[in-house]
Amino acid sequence: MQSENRNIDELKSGFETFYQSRILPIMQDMEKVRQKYLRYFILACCLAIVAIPLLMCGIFYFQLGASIAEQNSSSFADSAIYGLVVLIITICATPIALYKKKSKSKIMPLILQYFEGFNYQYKKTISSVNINDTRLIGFYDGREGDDYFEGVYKNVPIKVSEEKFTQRKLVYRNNKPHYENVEVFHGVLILLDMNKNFSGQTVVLQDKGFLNVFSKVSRDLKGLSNVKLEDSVFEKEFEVFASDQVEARYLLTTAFMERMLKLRAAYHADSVEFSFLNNQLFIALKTKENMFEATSIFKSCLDKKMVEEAFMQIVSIFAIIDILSLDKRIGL
Amino acid sequence: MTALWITLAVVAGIFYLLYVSLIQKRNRLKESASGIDVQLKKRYDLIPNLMTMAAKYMEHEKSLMEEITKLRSEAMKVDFNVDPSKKFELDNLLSQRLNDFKLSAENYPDMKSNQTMLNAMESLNAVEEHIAAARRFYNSNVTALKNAVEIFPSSLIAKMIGIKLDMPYFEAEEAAKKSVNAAEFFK
Repeated sequence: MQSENRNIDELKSGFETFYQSRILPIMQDMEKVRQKYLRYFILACCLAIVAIPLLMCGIFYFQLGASIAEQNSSSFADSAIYGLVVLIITICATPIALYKKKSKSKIMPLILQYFEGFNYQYKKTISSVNINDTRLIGFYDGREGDDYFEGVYKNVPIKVSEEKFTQRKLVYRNNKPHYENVEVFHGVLILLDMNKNFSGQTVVLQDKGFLNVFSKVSRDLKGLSNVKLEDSVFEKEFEVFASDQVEARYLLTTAFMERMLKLRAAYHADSVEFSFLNNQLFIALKTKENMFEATSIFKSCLDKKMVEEAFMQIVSIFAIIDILSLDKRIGL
Repeated sequence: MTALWITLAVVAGIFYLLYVSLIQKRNRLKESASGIDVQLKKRYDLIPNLMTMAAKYMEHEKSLMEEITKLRSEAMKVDFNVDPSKKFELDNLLSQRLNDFKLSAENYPDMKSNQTMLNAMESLNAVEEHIAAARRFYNSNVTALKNAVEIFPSSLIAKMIGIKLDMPYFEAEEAAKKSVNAAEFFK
């Protein structure tokens, strides 16, 4: 059965059989791998517990000797402690990261096999669209993708990726300036083909009251003008900017606005924002939650709860097509 | 004395801003009205082809098609800038008849399977959606100008410079408000 012909309820009900027959046998193998990496992790932590006091003693001994010779030695000690902490965290986190990569690369494609025709890639971003053009993310310097998958659901091509955007900012710690990467966006980006043709751009941003001024500046909304729509509930929730006032209303029909509100209510995300560009709809779901985590080094692979959770998150992304009726060319 | 000058400058500033805002609203309304006109013209251009193609299949709907053609000719003759109310009335009637036409098309499976006809119907749907969007934009501009002309203090300036609301709302007829399930045609 093609996934594009199944509705959400059918997808949910058929998953148990798929899990038992296809996922569980792989998970049993993965459990051995998990235990191996967990042992590495425990070993790394034990080493850290032994190494920390020894290294601390070494640093303080060195600092004591140096303080007699010169007065500015405390900065060296600070840097040494900071470097030590980073080193220990890196050593302890390495088995977790390695296991995460290994397990995700194995389990996620398997879960997506259920939907047929979907490709999964670890650490990839949506590259077919210039993210700056969508105007959904403000200023950023760094971009990192976690999970990426693409395919067709109900004849609608869809690309999904969990991404993090950071900006390098000057921060002060102990009255000393240094640059730090501050997170500006973490969440899921979704790119869908629209069921309507249009040539301009319409951006639907979360209404943040008086903070809208800042979001306008950071999103660089040059060339777009504010669109006042007749739906008061929608207006309370969102701010719309478009290059063409008529086209914005062509896309945001009263029925579509209702669906967008439904979507906003259905996802417990910090914000849901939309950008209509090049006959495509780009959705940014901002959330603190780490999505699509089908396994964890600290949880048994035989416990299907995490797989189910990742599956439900994928299904909820596909449900957007149903909620927004993007599979229908009814023009509403 | 200085206070008087400052007060006068502030009043003049407010007057100027209100004046600019009124002119902008009036111009935006005119622009949106011409936007409707453009979309309506697209519909007029589509209708003859659609009727010619449909005539081969829908022999029993001849009177409906004739009425659509007649309404199109009448609506085309009315200038939007001269008599907007009449224009809206005729175009609402035309919308209603086109909706009836779409519903009737349901009874002709041969026609539904014709790709050219399908494309023409899709184009008509797209134009209808653009008309609806242009109408919403126009109505929002009518409201903006209406508020400016009726609410103090801009109402005062509107009277002084002779700006009044002479454009009606483009309201859909009751029958046209009923949603037509266009998706049925594309099944």
